[in-house]
Amino acid sequence: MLAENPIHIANAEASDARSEAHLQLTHLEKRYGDFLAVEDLSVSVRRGELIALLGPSGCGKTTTLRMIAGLASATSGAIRVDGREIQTLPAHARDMGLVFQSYALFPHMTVERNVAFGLEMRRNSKDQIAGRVAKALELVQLGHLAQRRPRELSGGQQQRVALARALVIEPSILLLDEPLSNLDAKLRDQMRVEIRDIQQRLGITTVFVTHDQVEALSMCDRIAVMDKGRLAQIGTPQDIYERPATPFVAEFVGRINKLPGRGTSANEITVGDRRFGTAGKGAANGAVTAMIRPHRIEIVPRGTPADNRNAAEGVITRATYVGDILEYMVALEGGVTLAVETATGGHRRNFALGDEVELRWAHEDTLVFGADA
Amino acid sequence: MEQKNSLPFTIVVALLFVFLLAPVLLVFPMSFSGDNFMSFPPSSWSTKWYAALPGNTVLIGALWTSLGLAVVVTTLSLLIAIPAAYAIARIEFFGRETLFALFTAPLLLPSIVLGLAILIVFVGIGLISTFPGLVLAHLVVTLPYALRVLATALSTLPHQVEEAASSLGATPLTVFRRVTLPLMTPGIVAAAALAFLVSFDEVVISLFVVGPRITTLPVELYRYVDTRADPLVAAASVFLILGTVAVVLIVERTMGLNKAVGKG
Ligand SMILES: Nc1ncnc2c1ncn2[C@@H]1O[C@H](COP(=O)(O)OP(=O)(O)OP(=O)(O)O)[C@@H](O)[C@H]1O
Ligand SMILES: [Mg+2]
Repeated sequence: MLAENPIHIANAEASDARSEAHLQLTHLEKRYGDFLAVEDLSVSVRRGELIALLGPSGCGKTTTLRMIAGLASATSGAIRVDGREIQTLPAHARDMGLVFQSYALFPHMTVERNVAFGLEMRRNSKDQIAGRVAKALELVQLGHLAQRRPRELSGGQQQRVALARALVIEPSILLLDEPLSNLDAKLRDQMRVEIRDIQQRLGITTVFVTHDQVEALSMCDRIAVMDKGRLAQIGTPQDIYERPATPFVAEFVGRINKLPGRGTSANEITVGDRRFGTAGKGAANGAVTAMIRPHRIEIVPRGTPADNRNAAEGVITRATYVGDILEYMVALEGGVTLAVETATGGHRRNFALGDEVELRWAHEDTLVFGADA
Repeated sequence: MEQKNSLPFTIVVALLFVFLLAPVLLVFPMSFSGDNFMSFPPSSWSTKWYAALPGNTVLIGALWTSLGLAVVVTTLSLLIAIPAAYAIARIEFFGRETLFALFTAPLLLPSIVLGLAILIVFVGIGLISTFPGLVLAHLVVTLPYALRVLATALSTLPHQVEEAASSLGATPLTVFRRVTLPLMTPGIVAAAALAFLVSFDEVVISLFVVGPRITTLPVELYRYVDTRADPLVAAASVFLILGTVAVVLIVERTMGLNKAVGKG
């Protein structure tokens, strides 16, 4: 094995990656004056993959999509489709479906004409257009509003027209800029399923912009988390959630407790005079920040026999009922307070304000980052 | 925006309207005067001035010239101003603002200055007292208006709608034809009406360019009152006022209609 020529291996890998990557961004940068909206962004999207672009407002998600769609020019970097640089192609020649964050429907056309527009540009026959438009409108549950104008629709209805307009052309690459932001919870769930379904059925490579981590985690193959124009982490939902690369990612994809501590070895830290086992990633010596998700902590009565988990004694200072979960605040000795979430349900034991309890959580649920987190 | 106007405000507005419209409204009774000179109120009534209008070949000839001129000037204004406004509103190029300022500068210059300048230039190249000369002179005033109105119309048109069209596969020309142009229609109608009225009403600059071979209606009316004092011009003015009102109403209708069917 080791005798094999390493250059060959490298070449094989490179060509493999190229054939696999449908859409590839390399060192992409967008500058507005002195302001870097997107910086050194490299992402490779596989054919048929649904990838989420997740990040807080203003982190450069829309800017990235616009560069891919050809509506904004990159300051530097490459955008390749099937290995070919496409930045010289004008937007109308890129065969990408784009759902704008602001919908951008044609105000002078009916819903039906809006959805038909892309098919007309592709010179489909009249019958074919009518059939496909009707199907697309059915998909977004707007068949009954086909003759309305955009301004006669609610925000959520307009958003669904925008979605239908992009889906109906069955583009090779679909770019969705927060396409569900304006829908109620139930409709949003239905649309998630529809988008995922059509995307899988047609194998459309899709970039899905969202700042909703639940959406990203639940429907995407992989997630690219962006922070201030840069890629913070890219990986599967599990990677992102269980093994966040930075404190920013850890905090962005869900609630998390922060504990200041000191690293003592690769898989142990001390917080005050307590020792906790960790996920084992941080070899950091010196000041560290430990992070633990509230729902990964279990509350047990004091005196419960020790197990191989981390343990800390504390007092319940607040208990809040939020429907499907109970939220506790537990003050540890030494001034640190941890949030703990437990599922509500008859068989569970509930604790009350002032109860003296013990917290237990697994070593691998203790994420460790540098102290500046 | 619903707003309760206070009584004093209403009175001020009413007075302003009377002040502005009184001379215009006086034209109507005057045009039915039976006298041979303009006076108010007329001592007797008749429709003889209306009867005399068609017989005045100078005025009728000038009317046709003015109408033809206004149509040509309006068409050319649109043909030039639509692409120009599009370029200024949509394409980033060096000196864009300067160019726009330059284009619309004639709006700020006194007509008399423009007229003189045009006279000086036109005399040398034989454009005085010619139809093309009048067209060019009028374009100097109508283009800035048309450009202003169209640039405003374009700037309120969201660029993303055009981007959406191109991302759906429309070439720039198709985007313009199927999206930009229809959404600009109210602006185009307004620009056309404005160019037409400005050209049709133009006196000062025309005075420098007209000559023995060609003349316009406003210039002829001006000359008429200079030499005669009979109420024929009042009868002519009634038609001009009604024509202007008709144009404004048409604009109101199309714009209003357009709002009703799409833009909004
Ligand atoms: N035309 C522009 N000129 C200058 N700065 C811009 C321009 N467009 C975007 N920006 C800046 O670039 C940054 C990224 O903007 P972008 O629209 O990509 O954010 P986003 O991640 O889509 O945010 P949101 O979730 O709010 O939509 C922002 O800080 C924004 O202010
Ligand atoms: Mg955005």
